[in-house]
Amino acid sequence: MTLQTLEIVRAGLQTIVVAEPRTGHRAVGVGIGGALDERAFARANALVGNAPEAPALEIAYGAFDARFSHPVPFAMAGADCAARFDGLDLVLDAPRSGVRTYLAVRGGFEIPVVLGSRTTDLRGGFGGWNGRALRNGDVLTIGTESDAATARAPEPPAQYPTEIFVRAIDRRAPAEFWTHPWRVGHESNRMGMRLNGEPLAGGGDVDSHAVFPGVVQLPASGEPIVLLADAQTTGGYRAIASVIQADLWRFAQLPAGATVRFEKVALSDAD
Amino acid sequence: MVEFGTPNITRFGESALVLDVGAGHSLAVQVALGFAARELSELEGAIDVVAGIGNLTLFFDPRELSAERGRTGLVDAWAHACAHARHLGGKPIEIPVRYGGADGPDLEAVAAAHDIAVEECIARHVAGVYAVYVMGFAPGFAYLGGLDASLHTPRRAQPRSRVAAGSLAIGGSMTGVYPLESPGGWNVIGRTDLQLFDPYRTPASLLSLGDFVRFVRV
Repeated sequence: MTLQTLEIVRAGLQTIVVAEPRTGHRAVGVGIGGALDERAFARANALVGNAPEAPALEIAYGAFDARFSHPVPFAMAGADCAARFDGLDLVLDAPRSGVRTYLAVRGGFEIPVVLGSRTTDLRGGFGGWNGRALRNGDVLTIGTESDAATARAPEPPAQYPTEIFVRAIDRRAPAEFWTHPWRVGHESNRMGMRLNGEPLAGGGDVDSHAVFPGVVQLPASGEPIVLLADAQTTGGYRAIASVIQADLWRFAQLPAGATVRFEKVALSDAD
Repeated sequence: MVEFGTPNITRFGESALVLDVGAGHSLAVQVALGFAARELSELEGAIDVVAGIGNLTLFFDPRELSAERGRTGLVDAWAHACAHARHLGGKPIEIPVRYGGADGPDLEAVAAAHDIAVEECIARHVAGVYAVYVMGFAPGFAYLGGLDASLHTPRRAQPRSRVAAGSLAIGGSMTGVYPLESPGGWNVIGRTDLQLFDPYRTPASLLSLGDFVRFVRV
């Protein structure tokens, strides 16, 4: 049987292979990673009948082109990039709303398991596609494992607002953290999102401790940082809150300049 | 039995619990935390156990382990650690290092900052027995405590955008080896060819919490 492949023609700003989070190795400094928008990732996989965490592409800010070797069922979810399909060529513009688009192919991409996961660890340089973001000319092999019977009808493209509320659990945050609006800064990436706004008091260094995606740190500058999937495993800034896991995906779709407000919830409301 | 005072346990987010020893920095505390971490990682429903400076975080799967059970696990593990930690460190590891030159571009500056000769600086660093206080920053990176107080050096004012894999460095009161090429602000004094982290090896990380490290000059 001929290998079915996807060739990356225009890799865009940052396109990586994402799959199941890599847990179990934080004790030696390996972060968990995985898709920033777990919902869109799972939706793209479901549309082609894959398991929810089958290896797929996370495309940041669109502007991505690829070429299939064969007609292969595929699906996209997340940011709407006005995708066009011509013959075997797929062309994505910059997103109309949101930031990250997930491209799943039926059968998933063939990606080896490293330290228990197929997802990319950019910091460690392993997992995913050779431990790095995709480049023009990379050719990914399409897998064969899937259960096409579960494929669902496509959903309309999601609209992602640029003013959002997210729920978080308090860890003695200053009162103004909850009342002020926060603007997404330009220096945001898969490790964390910097928020700009009126600086808060009480930030600074504390003894190093474990951190995880969702933790809100407050450095001495007074402007909070929300840690995301590729966060380091330990941190030395004061942790003032943690975004509940059910709302964490929202950060994946927030462009620089968007506004975030935090709503305090009790632990019992987080499920 | 080691007395560290009464620890404080708090919930951190939905699926983590933090034990705060509240006893400041010491080798004894970090060795005890390493011992407790090893015991806790065997707990049913524990996903990851991560030590910090004077604290320990248990990440758990709430479907398999209740927060209450996790809390009890932390209390028990810490009590056992206080009772036994004096005798139970991790494994001893020797790391061969080339000091100075192109491998240690900041060695002369570190020696100068402390008003000692380069050879004396190397001798004091080699004389140390270091303990893995915390793993973090990057895969396989160990914060090593036990640095001679006369070698404590603030981080570089201008961090480097690229520090070579295997670089041995000093940051404040800690020393450590960069396992992979990465940005870094520590003062680089030497380099090893030993691979500290290899995701295809078992175990992937050469060092883990509580291990004892000696540097050997080559």
